[in-house]
Amino acid sequence: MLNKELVTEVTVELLKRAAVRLPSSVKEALRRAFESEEGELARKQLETILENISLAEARGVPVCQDTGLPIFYVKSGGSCLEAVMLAEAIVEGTAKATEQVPLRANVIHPLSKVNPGLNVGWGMPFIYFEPSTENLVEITVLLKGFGSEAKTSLAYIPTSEDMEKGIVKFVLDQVGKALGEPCPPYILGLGVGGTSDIAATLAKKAFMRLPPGKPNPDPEASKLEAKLLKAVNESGIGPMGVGGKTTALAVHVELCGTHTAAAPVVLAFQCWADRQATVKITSDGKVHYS
Amino acid sequence: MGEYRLNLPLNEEGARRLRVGDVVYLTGEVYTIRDMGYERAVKTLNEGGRLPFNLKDGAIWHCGPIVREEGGGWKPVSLGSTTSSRFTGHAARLVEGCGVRLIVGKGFMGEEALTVFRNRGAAYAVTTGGAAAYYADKVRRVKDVYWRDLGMPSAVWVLEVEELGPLIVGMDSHGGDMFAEVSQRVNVSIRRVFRHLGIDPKHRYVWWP
Repeated sequence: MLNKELVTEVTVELLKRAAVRLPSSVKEALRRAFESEEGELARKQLETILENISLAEARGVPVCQDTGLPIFYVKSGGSCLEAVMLAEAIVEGTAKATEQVPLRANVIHPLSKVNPGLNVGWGMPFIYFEPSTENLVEITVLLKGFGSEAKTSLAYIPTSEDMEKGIVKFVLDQVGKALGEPCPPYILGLGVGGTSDIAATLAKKAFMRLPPGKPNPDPEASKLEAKLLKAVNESGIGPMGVGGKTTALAVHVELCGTHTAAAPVVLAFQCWADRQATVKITSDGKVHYS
Repeated sequence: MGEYRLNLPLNEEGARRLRVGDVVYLTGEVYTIRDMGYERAVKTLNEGGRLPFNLKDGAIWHCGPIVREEGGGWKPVSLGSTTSSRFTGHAARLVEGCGVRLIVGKGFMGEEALTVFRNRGAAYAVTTGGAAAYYADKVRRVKDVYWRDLGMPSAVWVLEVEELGPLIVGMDSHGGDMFAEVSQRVNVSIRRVFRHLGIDPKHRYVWWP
């Protein structure tokens, strides 16, 4: 049965999976990057990253000590009351997982800096809800580390400009400033259009797309993705900024209709430690992680 | 480029021997420090106070660890570097005020640090970011903790490490700065991309900001 107890337990397991193991397609992309790099320093960085990934899995410990802020994306075909139950269970599960996995207690009050120690409080964990016609609950968690998060940026490109050139210029300017800080090889997410908040949400949705490099079905968007990936990798920043071929594993673009004056563009970085996991729970309580 | 196995504490001569690009493995006591710990440390020094721990000839690590309380002590779980660029001023203050010789972190640090490294004889070395299971393996013991009221990430943890590395020296006491070099190279490459795509590097394209 889909109930609060089950969802709490599933949340703990989901957070553990997200913190400890990366999606298999991300691991494969990192392995391919290692094989393609020639420089000794770049290869050494990727070798350490791959060894770290194996060690974390073998020991069941978080792959990175910054287990980030817990952001949940929930799709549900259930009632509003069910959504309230899901939210309560996710909060409870996050507190439990913080002690059990353990996750680092990152959540603090943004002004007083008080840390209650459980990654819960003042709206955290944050949950996005999306209605669904399917008779099941799908929960995805993103553990967003702040080395890459704090490189997010926003620009409005007016429609008097060549949009594509404007976007490429903006992205490369930011990438060139961030250098190795957001822990490359990273995945870039670009939200284009809507208002600033919509573009920012889309930018995260973009970098969460799996497998890395899966093109946007919109031909204009996928053309831009390919162009940006090539341009970013030609910067030569390389793994951890030591120089090399692989700065980005992928660049993903998500679009939203925009105002006739301008498009907000948000660029978001996901470090190589792409901690996300998804679970589906059917109404009779069957649980499937992916 | 040399490879060094260094024992802590490290004297001035030892720190001055390091050059950008050298690979370093550290053994001995390392103190973690980051945002709120730095804030308190610098405030204490500025008010003429003394820190409750001794950093003379020591190493600090920009790290907010995951440790687990077990059997009256602490066990290392995941320990890796946090981004150093936001600590340039704080780190410089600790090198000047406490005699820190080695700073471990990730990413670049600013000019102010480079000047202090040159004047005092200190260096900055970087880990592979995010490789926290890997580095946790190099921590033999969590020896002590200060300022626990700041929370697990921001407290100052005293770690006994063995062969913590490989670390790459990113800034040395001779004005060497790996990141300035990388930044220059990257800028040249980006200019080339702009030219190739017909993008005017001086044109703004952006309305706001």
